[in-house]
Amino acid sequence: MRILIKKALVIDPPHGVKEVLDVLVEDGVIRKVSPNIEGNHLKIIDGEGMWALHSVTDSHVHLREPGFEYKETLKTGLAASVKGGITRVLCMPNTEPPNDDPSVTRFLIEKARRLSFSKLFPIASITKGRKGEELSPFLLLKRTGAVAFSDDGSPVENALVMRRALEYAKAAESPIVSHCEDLDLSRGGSVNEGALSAKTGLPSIPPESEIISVFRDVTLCEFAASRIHIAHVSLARSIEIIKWAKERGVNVSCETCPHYFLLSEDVLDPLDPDFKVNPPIRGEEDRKAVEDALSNGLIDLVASDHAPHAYEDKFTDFPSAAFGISGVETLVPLTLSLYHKGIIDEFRFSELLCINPSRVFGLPYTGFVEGSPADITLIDPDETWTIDPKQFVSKGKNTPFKGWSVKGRVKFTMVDGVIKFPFDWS
Amino acid sequence: MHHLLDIETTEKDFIERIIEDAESFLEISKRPIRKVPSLKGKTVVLFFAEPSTRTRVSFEIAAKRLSADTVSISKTASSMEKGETILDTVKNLERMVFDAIVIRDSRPYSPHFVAKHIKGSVINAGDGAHEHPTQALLDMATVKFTLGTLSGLKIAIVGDIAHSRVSRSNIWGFSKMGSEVYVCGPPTMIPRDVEKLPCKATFCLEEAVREADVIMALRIQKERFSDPLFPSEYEYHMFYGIREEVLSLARKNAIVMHPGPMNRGVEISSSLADGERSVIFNQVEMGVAVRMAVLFNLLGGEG
Repeated sequence: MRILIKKALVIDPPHGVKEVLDVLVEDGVIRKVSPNIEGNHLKIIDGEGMWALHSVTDSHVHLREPGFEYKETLKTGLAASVKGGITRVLCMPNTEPPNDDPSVTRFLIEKARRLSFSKLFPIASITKGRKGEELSPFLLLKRTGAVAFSDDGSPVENALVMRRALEYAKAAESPIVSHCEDLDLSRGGSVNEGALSAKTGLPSIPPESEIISVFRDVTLCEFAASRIHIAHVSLARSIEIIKWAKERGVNVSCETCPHYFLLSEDVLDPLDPDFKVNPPIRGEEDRKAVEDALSNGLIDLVASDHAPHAYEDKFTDFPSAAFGISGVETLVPLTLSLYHKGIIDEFRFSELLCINPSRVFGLPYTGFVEGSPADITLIDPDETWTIDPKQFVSKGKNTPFKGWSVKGRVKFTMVDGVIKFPFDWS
Repeated sequence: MHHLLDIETTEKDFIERIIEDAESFLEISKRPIRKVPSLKGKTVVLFFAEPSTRTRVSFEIAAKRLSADTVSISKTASSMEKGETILDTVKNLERMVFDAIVIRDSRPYSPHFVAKHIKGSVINAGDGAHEHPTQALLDMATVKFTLGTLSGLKIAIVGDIAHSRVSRSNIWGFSKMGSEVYVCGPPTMIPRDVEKLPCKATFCLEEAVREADVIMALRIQKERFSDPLFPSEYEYHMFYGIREEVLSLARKNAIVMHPGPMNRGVEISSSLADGERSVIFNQVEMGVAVRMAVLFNLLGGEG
């Protein structure tokens, strides 16, 4: 199939490109990028007014399969991802069984290949059973296709185990992804500790739970001369520690999620558990600090932390509800809000969602050059629409952004030269 | 008002009306026939998912004195033990038709959550560490009845503020009525950012009780001993317990309160609990009258 994208704003920072160009796609790869391409028998996409991005990546996604298919499946989660404009998905290992064995990694990769939506890159667990005791077989997992290691929401509590994991991960040339949380401090909590918990009496998670853990992990990483990626940073002080570590030359990267730069506890409704997420929504000063760090580069990338849940997991009182936000279908427009607010430019947008996730997780970013795989997302940056979870492809309808009017909409998602979104169910 | 969910969102007018009505209902309890027909034909469900003696019995007596029918259920005796959610339990009860449901639950905002989804009135009888509105109403009514006013007073609430629903409701209530609330306890029991609520916080008992008009001791929750909030009951009593020396710092006519159940010799000395400045048992008496006033106002009974 030959597809010609006409007159899209091609955004490709490593090649210094931000201009209106035509892109010719053939046999799954980009054939030609030039100001004016003519040709016959082509499917033509009018890209006027749209942005063309390469390899849009969501590096923090919970697909729930195997084990929790009632919340999400590879099929629904990856279809939701292409609808969200995401061509690469990195999925977390907190499944049942967890991804601590090459058989699980292989199952995920092969099933995703058959489904043929977004490309899937599994993150395997740090420890067997995510119990924080014995290391998972990093080298076998890496050879099977795992791109990083994380125990996700069950962070490694024992510092010696974390040290060994960081050391051993060097042989796999893969980062350790750390969900930074001191479980003794956070246990039982459901909102940020501060004005909100003082008022509501809701059990709380203190900021220090994250801060202490970020400090421990960057310190261990420096000492092990390894590589660490801090997941879902939500606090000014975590950012300060990461800045300090980066200045010392520690190989540390970090991500945040849209809810940490768009929401603060002032807008949290204690009757709506869609606001319940871990780490919790913090205060306004922290929200602002996260926004600033996205602009100045201290935060490397934005991921959704897509955490789909079934209705019955969320339709209850706040303390009983599950943590998490369904996010793959809103990652692009919510991140684009930073552009519309003048906080980031087009290049930075591409860095946050395309280039830096590739760099951090060792995936190639080839951009808009001849021979590059045609993993292209077209966005209308100015289309305004209202987020309606009922329209989600994901099984998880849990989002505090329901009813939000957002600017910027994914129009086409192409993976290896095939249009995956809009869906063609025929 | 249709529900009574918290004091934070309750208007001052309503608080005043309840206190006023409570004073007249207090009189009914002293009659030889302690019953009026105001809520005849109404059904009140008492749903207590957490242990309670005082509050549950107080509500039941209040409803019965107003001639309402009552049904009392506890969590262990309900299908919640079989895994039914609180909302499903309440919706089932709703089909058997009730006019009001009084809910006590360990989870903050579960009465609010239920109130969003049912037609009957919901009365919060304590939701986790959030609020206990009828306790604050009876505390305010007791103070009004004893000291004659609710404005310009200094109220010292002493104890485990962080885990106390009584403290939160009283902070909102007394401050709305024009009094100044001090909360006091060891730092482990003072919630972070508590001064974002209308109160002042101090770790120094002397500062809290000096010139105070009301000293309210909160129960030390022994069930929380796995969380090291303080080293020993003896140390607590010596530094945060309400004792004669402490009371002597307060105003001459200051009163001592406690929401119960008391740990004598821990948060309050026995001599004060039983002393002439104690209104602890008046609070219980007022509790019935206040709950009558709440039921009467919410269910719109005819006097």
